[in-house]
Amino acid sequence: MRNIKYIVKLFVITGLIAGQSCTEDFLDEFPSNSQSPDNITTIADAQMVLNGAYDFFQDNNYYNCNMITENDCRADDMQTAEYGRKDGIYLYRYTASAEFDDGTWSLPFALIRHVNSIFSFVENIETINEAEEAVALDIKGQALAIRALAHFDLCRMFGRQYSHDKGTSPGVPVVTTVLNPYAKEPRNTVAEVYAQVIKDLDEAIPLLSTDIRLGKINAWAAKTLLARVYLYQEENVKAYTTAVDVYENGPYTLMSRDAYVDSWSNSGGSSEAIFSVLNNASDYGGGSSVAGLSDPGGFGQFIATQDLIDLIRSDPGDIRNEILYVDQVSDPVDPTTWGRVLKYPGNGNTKAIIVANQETGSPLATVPYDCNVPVFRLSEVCLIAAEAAVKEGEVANAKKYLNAIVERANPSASVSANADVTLDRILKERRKELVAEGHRFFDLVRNKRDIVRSNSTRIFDITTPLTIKWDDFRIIFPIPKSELNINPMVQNDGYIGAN
Amino acid sequence: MKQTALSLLLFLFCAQLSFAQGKTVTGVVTSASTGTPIPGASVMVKGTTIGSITNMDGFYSITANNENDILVYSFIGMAPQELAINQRTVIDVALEEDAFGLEEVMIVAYGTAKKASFTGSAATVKAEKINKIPVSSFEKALAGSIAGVQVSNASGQPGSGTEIRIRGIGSFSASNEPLYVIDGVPVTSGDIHNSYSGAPVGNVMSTIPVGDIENITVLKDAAAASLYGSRAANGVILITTKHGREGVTKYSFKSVYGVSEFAVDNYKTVNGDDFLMLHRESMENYLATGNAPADFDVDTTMLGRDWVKPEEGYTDWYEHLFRKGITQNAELSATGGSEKTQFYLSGGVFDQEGVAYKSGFTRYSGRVNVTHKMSKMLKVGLNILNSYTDQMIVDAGSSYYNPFYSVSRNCFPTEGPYLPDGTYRLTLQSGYRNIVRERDLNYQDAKLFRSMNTGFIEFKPFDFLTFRSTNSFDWINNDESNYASPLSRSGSAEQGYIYLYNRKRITKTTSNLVTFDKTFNNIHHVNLIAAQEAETKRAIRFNGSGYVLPNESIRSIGAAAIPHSVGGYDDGTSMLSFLSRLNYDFRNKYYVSTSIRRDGSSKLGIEERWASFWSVSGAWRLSSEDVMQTLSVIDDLKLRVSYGTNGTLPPGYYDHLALYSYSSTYDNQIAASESSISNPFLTWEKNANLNVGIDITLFKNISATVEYFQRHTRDLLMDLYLAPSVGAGRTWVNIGEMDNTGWEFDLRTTNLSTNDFTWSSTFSITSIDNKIVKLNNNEDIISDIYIRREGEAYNTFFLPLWAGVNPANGAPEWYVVDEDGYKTGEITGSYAEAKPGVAGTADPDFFGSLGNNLSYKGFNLAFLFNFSVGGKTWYDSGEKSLNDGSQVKYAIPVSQLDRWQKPGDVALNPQRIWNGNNGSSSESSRFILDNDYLRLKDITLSYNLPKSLINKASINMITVYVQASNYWTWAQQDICDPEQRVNGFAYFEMPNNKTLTFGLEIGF
Repeated sequence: MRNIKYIVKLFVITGLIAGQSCTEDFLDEFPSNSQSPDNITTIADAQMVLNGAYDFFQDNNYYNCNMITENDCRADDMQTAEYGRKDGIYLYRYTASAEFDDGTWSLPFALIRHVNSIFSFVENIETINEAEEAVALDIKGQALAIRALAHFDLCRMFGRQYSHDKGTSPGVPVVTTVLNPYAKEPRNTVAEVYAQVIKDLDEAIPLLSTDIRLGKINAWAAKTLLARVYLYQEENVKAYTTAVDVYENGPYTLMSRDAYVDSWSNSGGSSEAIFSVLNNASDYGGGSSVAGLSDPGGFGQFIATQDLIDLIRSDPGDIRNEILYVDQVSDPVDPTTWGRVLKYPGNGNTKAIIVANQETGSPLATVPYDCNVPVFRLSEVCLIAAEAAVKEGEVANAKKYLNAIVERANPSASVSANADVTLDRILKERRKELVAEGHRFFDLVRNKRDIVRSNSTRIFDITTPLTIKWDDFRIIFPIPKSELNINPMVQNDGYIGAN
Repeated sequence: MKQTALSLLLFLFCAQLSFAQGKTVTGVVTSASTGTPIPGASVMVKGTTIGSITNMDGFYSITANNENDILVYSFIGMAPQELAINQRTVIDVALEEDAFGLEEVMIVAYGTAKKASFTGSAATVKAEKINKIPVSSFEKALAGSIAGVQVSNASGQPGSGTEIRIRGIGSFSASNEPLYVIDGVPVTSGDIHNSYSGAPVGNVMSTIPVGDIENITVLKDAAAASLYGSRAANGVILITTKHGREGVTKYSFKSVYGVSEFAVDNYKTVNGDDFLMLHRESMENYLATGNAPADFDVDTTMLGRDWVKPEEGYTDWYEHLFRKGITQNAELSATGGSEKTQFYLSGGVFDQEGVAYKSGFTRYSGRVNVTHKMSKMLKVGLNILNSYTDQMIVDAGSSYYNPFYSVSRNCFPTEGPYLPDGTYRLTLQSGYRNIVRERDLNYQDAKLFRSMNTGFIEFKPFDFLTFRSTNSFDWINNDESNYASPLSRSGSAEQGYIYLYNRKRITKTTSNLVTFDKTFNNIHHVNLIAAQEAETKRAIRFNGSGYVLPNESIRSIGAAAIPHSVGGYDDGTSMLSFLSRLNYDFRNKYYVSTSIRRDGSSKLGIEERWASFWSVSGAWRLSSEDVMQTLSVIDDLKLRVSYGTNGTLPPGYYDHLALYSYSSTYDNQIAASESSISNPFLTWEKNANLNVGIDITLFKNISATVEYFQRHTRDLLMDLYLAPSVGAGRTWVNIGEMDNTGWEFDLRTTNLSTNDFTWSSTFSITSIDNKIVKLNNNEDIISDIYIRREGEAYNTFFLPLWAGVNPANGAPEWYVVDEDGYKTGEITGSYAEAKPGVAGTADPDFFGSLGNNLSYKGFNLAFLFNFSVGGKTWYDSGEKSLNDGSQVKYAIPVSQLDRWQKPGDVALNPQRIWNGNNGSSSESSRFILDNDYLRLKDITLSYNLPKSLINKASINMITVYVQASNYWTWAQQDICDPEQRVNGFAYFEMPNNKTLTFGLEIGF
């Protein structure tokens, strides 16, 4: 019987242990790396959410790759070298359901949702002093500017250029709130998108800090974007004024000729870098990032065309020869000359290292692609001013800003005759200066110029289109199937629904 | 008791007469089919409580009251026999296998049940049925064994998983896999790790040696499964491991050697001559269209691409990528014990070399199952499994890194993996990396250790009352590494990389059960249970990676110059349950059972945290009615009906919470972003099941079960894609309702039975109709190549409808669809006009199996065919391979040879045109394959050496066998293996193997 008592005791204990767990607490479990948005209550918390917005820029679907490569590959100076990556884009084969990266569409929208959430966090934070209040306003300003940039980028890829029809055709949905998950937003017109972009920037600029901060948007970055938006909108006077404001009043100076080459591999940027996406060793975008696609030792498929090589080489004194490198791919079956634009070489890497490595066959010291991706820099500001001025007939002003760039590259190459200061000349300078930064395609299309690939490095597919009219339907990306399946918005002309 | 003509009573000794009062009878109980002694068989004097149990040698001794008494011999899985003593003192009995399982005691939810009295729908598989098939985990061997259960071995990679669907697809995006319960404890199942590209390859069940399994029960309906509540909607698989028996210790040794290769040709590509011929033809046709550029020249293009016959001949890439896989297995076990303590011990090594080079799986395992009677009322037991597996993984899926995908997509016969100087080719003509080089230099592996410990204490103060507390601790530790050499193309940018992951799954459970079991007045039998359970699970991960390795032989993260990333988590979920069941039967004629379970789970929002699941069932054993007793042809007839509910939980631990994740950084600062949208009303998927079944046994040798079932699921869990413009990705919602209705037919016959020869057959067939009943606002959900639409099956394809090739001009044609996406009679030659349409479902109309077992003296021949009719499978990347000449970067499948060449040709493929033939290869139902098949799943020939030969060496049993898996297949399509994922999406997992195995089993 003693045995039984012992056993009864044992069951009582077991029961107690079991009973103890019979509380609701037992069923409350929370994740280790996430928390409720209710816990976002301080300025420091909001700052982390803002950092999250910049994290979206590091995505390969946005500035870490697609925003640059998928637009450059559609123009004449850059291309993809072979099948594998971005070939469907280069070949203009994309449809709503195939050969298209849905992320190019969805990522900026995810970013827009993210920044829209920041406004309510900031509003609900009780700031304790003026310094905090300023930080809170600055956070709001950055969120507004990012929202503007994302809308602008979407609109110029998925809508007709403003200059084509004054923005009357469909752009993208304008999203200024955290949408209900089941919302089905229709497309706004391009003009409506531009209006919202300008409104956001006008509101952001006074809130933003004017201090230099490379990895984040400040007032000068927002103004640069505004200048660019005006240029696309053909509001040339406003574009000029805004650009000149950045150039004259901002804390930036054009990088010197001597510093030019190394600046691309300097993680601290250059004297003219206004806003760059900062990648460090832990932000590795991998082989499919713009850096990986540019690396001859990586996928290496994002290459310069022969046209671009010839253009740069036509002036041997041009410093930009030093960031162009032409290699002979070691494939004995198909030896081809591939042009490399060394704008994403990785922290501390120089052309000399890369060339030496390539020649000895050693791997390239480019890991882990900790390259800054420039979004706004002063050279573009100059060229915006020059282009806006020349379009308004202000040749002297145009020449001044054009030569700032031309002379920096080669002091003896300056444009002297007023007759030489033409839109063609400025666009040519944009080709040389801004190559592989995602501008060329839009420069052609917004100026109603056809894309002519007269001299590609490598025609690897017989269906490569060599001339694409500026009003070809494929100039505008299709609204992807993943959107239309759920939200049947208007598809762009030329594409068949979600096919 | 009638004596049957086929009495298997054997007289080994002459009966000796004894006239003593109180008759003592001794003897040996053996199995009629194997001749081996049966330990633990029960011998009772009929109508009394006098009983005895056979020892390890099958020997018994019993003292009856008088010599006219009748002895009842019984054992689990054997037909009982009743024999009159008739003055004998020695009675040896050979028990026949109970082919129809009426007396079989099944393991069921929270206990056991006699099949004859069970009101639910369940099926058992005994170890003997599967233990000769050389598989890394038992589910792979279940195919075809059970009606209503679809077993899909989509991957032939060693150590990979198997999809099991019990009575159809019950969920949209939550799990459709059953719950696995081992020795009474629900366990972690599924894949613990994935391949580089995300293919599921790390099946947790492969830690469990098949040899340790005594039997498997599959619970199909609510009556059988509702006691497992919120996890039981997809059915339950109960696994019972072997246990010890009283008597002299028995040893068993098993050794197996098998050779594997792909079961069928998969995505076979053309030989070199055809490769050149087809390309040449497409170029010539291109010229004929007049669209070719003026300078286009066939020879120049061929030469430019190096498409010529190489001097050393064409390359068969299969030889460089695949081999004969070898399976070896050795197991040693010991069973025995005293009256108080009984044990089962086993140790084993299982080694499988995959058909793809650098794929393989090795397992070392040891098990101890012990029970001990502390006193008359108190019993304790402990089951311990320690298992270590080491898996070499090759990638699966549409990735150049997958040798199987690569060989059928990116490797051309016009070049080999090596250059003339013997070094690796870097880039292939297709533009892809050289898979041989990458494979040789790089690797991916996983080393898993599992310790599974289940202990129980049982207290039985009275015959009718038992308390049992079962507590379990399951610890899974998995170390994965993914390495790329600095010399490989994959690792070149990083100068070599290594990614390491450590994952742990720690599960603790407690189950405290009271069972009351009593028969009143010999006619009312009551079985009542009540239990409380709790479970906590933790998923812990730590990962790190490093770049820049010194050379190709140092593969350690410690030697990496750049520490790249560190990450991890420690997440958990918990569950609390209360349950009860009442079984009642009256005179073994009428049975009623009712159960209820209440579950609370941390996976759900506070508003929906608790739910109850219940079942009611009944059975009527008509054959026990007096009127039926006169019908001698009907031995048994039972009608069963059950109705009840069970559920499915969301798969994620925190799907209901609004969350901001802090796992990323920007500029070395913490970056937070929204990772989950709140849904406080996220709730269980609820499943209501109706089951009606009839069991019948006729003429003593035909047994059949027919069942009709309905599964109605509501509040379906869906990981819903939101409009990308919303910016929120996806979210879990409860949406819609779905029905699975169907019937199962299961037939078992003994066709012939003589002393030396028996022949028995099994046949099973299942038909399931899956249909979505309700969606939000009747709105279709289009998801990639599928459409979810009310009235259609869940796995319904939605693609432009291929109408074939126009015999007049060789151009592709599609059907025009109406606005709902259904086919009209009209045909179009323009892909742009061919809108997506409803293109059939992946689900088969019916599937089943046919098995036969023949034994003659010591020989046994068993074979099992599986079949499936009416299913479809999607040929993923068909739009690339079947490109009719439009693409140069893909190898050409043999099916492309059947092509249009001249007017009048009725061909499978359109005219080949370099640069494409009117978008013929664009995504369409052209790449949906009819997937009927018949497969010889298993054929085994075994031979038991005669006892006379081996007994001298004091060996009880020697069996030698040869077994073949998947040795013959007929399939309607000849593109790929017909066993694909249940959703019909062929994902380029390593295909099924056919394996020829030689085995030896010794018992001593």
